[in-house]
Amino acid sequence: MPVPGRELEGLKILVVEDNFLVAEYLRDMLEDHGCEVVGPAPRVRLALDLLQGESKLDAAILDINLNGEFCFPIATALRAASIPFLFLTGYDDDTIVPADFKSTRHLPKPVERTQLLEAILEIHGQPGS
Amino acid sequence: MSQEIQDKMARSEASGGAPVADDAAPLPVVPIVGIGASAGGLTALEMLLPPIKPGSGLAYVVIQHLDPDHESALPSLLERSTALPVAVITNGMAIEADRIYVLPPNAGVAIEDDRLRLAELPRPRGPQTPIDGFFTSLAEARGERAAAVILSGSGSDGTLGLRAIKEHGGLTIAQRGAEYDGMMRSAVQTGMVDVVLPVAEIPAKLADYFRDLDRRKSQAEGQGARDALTQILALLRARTGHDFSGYKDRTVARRVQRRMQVLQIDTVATFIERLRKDPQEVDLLLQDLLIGVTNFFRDPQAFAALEEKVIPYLFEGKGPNDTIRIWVPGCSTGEEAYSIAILLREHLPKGQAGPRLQIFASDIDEQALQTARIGRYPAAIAGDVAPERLEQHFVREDGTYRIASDLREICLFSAHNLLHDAPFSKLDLISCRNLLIYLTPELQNRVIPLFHYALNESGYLFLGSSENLTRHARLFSTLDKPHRIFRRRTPIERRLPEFPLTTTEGARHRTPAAQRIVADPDSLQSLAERQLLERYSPAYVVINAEGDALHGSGRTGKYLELAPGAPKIDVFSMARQGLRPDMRAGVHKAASTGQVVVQKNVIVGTNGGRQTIDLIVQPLRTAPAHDPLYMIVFQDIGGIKNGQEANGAVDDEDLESAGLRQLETELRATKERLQTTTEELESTNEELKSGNEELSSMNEELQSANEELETSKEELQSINEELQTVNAELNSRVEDLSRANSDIANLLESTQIATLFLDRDLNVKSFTPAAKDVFRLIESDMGRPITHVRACFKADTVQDDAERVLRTLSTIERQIEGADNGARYVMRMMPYRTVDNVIAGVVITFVDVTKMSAAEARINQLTRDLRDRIQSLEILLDVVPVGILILQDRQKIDEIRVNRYGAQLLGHGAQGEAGSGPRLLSAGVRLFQGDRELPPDEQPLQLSTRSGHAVANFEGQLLRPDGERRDVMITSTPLFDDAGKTRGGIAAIVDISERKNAEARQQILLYELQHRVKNIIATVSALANRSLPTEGPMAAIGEAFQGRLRGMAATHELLSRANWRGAPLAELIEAATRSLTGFEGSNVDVHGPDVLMTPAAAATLGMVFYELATNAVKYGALSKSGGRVDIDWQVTGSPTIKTLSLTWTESGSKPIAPDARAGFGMTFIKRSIEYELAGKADMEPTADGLRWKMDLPFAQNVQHA
Repeated sequence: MPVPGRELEGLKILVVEDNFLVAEYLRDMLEDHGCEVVGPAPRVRLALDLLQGESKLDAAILDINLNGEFCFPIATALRAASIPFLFLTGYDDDTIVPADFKSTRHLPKPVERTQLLEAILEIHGQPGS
Repeated sequence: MSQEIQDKMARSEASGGAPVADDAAPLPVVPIVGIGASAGGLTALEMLLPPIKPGSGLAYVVIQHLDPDHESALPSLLERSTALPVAVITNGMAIEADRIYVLPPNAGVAIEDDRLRLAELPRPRGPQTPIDGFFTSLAEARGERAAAVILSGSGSDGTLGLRAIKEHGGLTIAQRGAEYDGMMRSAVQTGMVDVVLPVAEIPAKLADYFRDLDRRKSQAEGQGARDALTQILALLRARTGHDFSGYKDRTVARRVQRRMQVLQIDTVATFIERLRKDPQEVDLLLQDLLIGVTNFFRDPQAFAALEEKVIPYLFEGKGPNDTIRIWVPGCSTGEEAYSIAILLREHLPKGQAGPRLQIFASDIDEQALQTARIGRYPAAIAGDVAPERLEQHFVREDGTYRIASDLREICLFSAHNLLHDAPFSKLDLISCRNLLIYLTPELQNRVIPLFHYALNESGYLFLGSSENLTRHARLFSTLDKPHRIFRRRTPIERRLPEFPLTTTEGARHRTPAAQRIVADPDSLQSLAERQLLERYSPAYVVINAEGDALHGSGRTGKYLELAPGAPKIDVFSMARQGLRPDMRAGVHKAASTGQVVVQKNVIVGTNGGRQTIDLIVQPLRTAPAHDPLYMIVFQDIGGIKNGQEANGAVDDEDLESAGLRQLETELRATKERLQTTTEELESTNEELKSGNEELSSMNEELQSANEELETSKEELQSINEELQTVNAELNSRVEDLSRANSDIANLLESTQIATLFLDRDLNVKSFTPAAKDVFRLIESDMGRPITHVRACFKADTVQDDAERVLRTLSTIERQIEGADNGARYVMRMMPYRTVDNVIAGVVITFVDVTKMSAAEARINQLTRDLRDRIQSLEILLDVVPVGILILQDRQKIDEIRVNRYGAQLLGHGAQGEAGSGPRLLSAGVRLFQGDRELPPDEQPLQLSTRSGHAVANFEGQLLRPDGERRDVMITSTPLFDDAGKTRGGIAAIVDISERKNAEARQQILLYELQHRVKNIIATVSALANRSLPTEGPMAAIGEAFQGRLRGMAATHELLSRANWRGAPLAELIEAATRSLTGFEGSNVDVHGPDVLMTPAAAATLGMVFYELATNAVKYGALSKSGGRVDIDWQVTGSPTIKTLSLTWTESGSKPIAPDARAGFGMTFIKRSIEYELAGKADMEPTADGLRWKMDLPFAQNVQHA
């Protein structure tokens, strides 16, 4: 039973977000809840590098639009490594998301704290979702 | 000489009569007219026959040279021209008057027993002489009752036949103005033609001639005739030099009659006038007189006897160095001489060793001699000569027989007057068979001794069948009486013959004169003169130059006595003792001086005594043409003293007389010696004369041979010239040929066409070098059949094709492929025609079409490619989603083609179906820019076409026929021709209405976006205002927050103004610094190149500069006056990796404490630039402020154009 305020204890979570402030906000939020944040990384390349360097990731939060790039290559790598992830999206546009990832959980921006926690715990419980 | 001729005439008279006696009542013997013709004869006959009137009583036999192989239409053709019946001669046909008989082809005809006999012409076939054959037969059969007509024709057939006709007394006529006059000329040249007439006059002449024939025969009798004859003979002698006075009157008269008949003159007087006026008539009369008749082996049995009994003995005792000499006087045309030559040759064949053979043949008829020398006789002699002899000794020439040349060499023909010229001598045989019967007995008696003299001891004499030697038995013994072969007896003394033998005309004339004197009564004077002459005048004798006593006074016994032996008239031989030398001397002197010669005191021993005489030789004046005559007068001086007396007179004077006697004896002896010498001299003289005669005749022979050679030489020369001309011509032809040949060779070589020439048997005649590529040909293949030559291709059809070409004269073409090299040829076969259009073979040419085939194949390939490309292009045009307009020809400005897309776009239903390429635009294109419609020449396609420049990105509106407007963009480009001038243009027209719509929509969206963002920021600001405290210590938070919002709003305002393309850096900075409610006039300097930041970078930088500016206002250089901020940036780095380096320098302020700037601002500035812009940012404090250094990678942050 996660300790309130420490629900994400012991988890390593990758954050990929191109907006600095938002990225810091997420980090603060996640670290407040006890996890270790890998990154944040503003771009795909950096994110993939981080992914390779990390041996054990528990989850990832991906901003779909990364300053002109899409995050899906990271999603593919995460899935291959059986690391659960979810999308943060400013778009309400289905057409962006490839078929492979249509079933992936996504949260709208700006994201609400509790919504995010729930989502993370949910996907963590189901690896490879 | 005249005797000779006379006798000839007598002979022809003998054989020229009809089968009945001349002047018996005429039996109805039909006169026959032989008509001979050759080329042009039909025309002549068609003119000859119509004037022939029936009732003329003549039969006409037509001998026309015909082609022996073909039927002749001559009889039917002639029938049309005459009223007389025309019949083709059949064997044994009878001859009737007023009929025309025509000789059929391939036959000859003769008359036998009054009937026509046909004979096949002898082989081998060649030009025949049927005319000669018939005329000869006709002459012999009908004699005077024959006539021969020569019409148009070339050659000489008929000439010899005409001679026979004339010889036998017939009439000979030739056509004047014949189309071909060769035959006529040949006859006329021999003098055998009596008259030349135009053909239409001939029938009348014939009719008249035969009608008057009998009538005229009865004339020419009587004394007047004899006088007339004398005159005629005188004229003859004057003109021709020949003396016919020794001839029988009758013979001359006959000939005269004939000429008169020919000329149709009735009286002799008229004829004599004619002779006087027209000397040519005299010549013609002479010709008539000279005609002789002679055959080969006449009297064959006589010749057989000669062959058996005489010929072999001629050879006896003669070795190869000896010569057999034979003389044939009166040889005429030489048949007799050649007959004997044949006998000789048969006894001594050519090549065998034996004595030389020499036959002297003489006559006075020069023309006959000419004929004899040539030795050519008509085919008719086959009747007289045995076939073996013909074969052996004759050469067949054109229907005549010519004596072989070796026989001709044996015989020497020369003109010789038997009665005038010295005879030949030392002869082994004399054959004189044409002559003696014509001579009067007196002349005969002179000629025979002549022969006796001329013959060798035991020589032979061969006479004609009606001649005999009864009077000369002492001279000749008879060897074979029936055949008239005699042998010379050796006489007791050798006597010189008396020659010459002719009597002078003067003498002849005198005979009638003497007769006249006897007949007329004496006048007193002549009586007295006679008495004087007889009684009182001295004895005389008249001699001629040779010493022949012609006339004597009588009483010459004292001076002249009969010489022992045969009586002679030679006065010298009759001279008594002692007279001869003086007489001879006297005559000699008189002859040379022409003066009287007197020799005194010539002592003549006579009757035991001596008579002294004066011997006077007086030349007698005679007419210059006559022989000189001399009168020897014996003038007695005193009487005969007897010998004793003569001798006694001498007794008295012993010494003197003894001396005298001795002298006399000596003188006598000398005289006798002189006599002997003289006799010997005379005999030597005579021998010399006869030797001379021989030489003379040989000379003549040589001369005539020389003339022949001359003629031959001239002929040869002219032949030579002809040959030279021909040669020159040939040379030039050869040159032409060579040139033509080399032209052909060059032509064939240059065309490189393989050509073969085949002959009719398909043998290779020749070929060009190029032909070796097609056939394996070598030079020795010439002449071999084409099928033997290996071909470099499949040649199965070559032979069949060639044969077909020869057969059908068509041209055959085939394509063939070379087996070795794969070359292709077109083989063409054609018949080979000579210039005379005769087919002489086949020509085959091979034209190398390899390259052409390859080229054709290539062209086909290219054409296919081209078609494919065109098809592809057309499909492309139809498929491409761009409208294409094509103006191909600016001259045809209205013909614009459009593709399918374009047609659809323009809204025009263009003609044609889908897929067939651009179709013609049926209507104009309506373009607008704004509200203005563009006329066609302002539209891009036409603009490009006219100007030669492209028009790019023309935007306008298309008005479709359905009223719809579409936004279009047109790009047009001109089309150039080869000269570089514009010939048309192409335009691409694209529907951009979608794009335009999209652009419009985008614009709307942008506005919307801007509006939204502004609203959001304004709303957030308003909410913050509500939510955040505005007073108290917490109010700063709200202000800070509002301030940051304002900064963001300014950045986004900048971005929207630029339609979210980006924001210029300079403006970004100014917007950030201006948004502060700060100092105006603060010293803020912004320097740097224009750089357009991306929207993302602009957003980040906007907040960064807001923080910087806020810090500067709160704490930094902008917090008090005197401070300044310098913001500089530049582009650094390599062209591929550019970096924007910016510095924010605050100065004129106090240095800051390092930790005073910590907080959100500093961290935010550094971290934002690092995190969002991937750049670097560092701050370092300076003595009077601080400096921020930032490096931003271009790639991410600067907007590309």
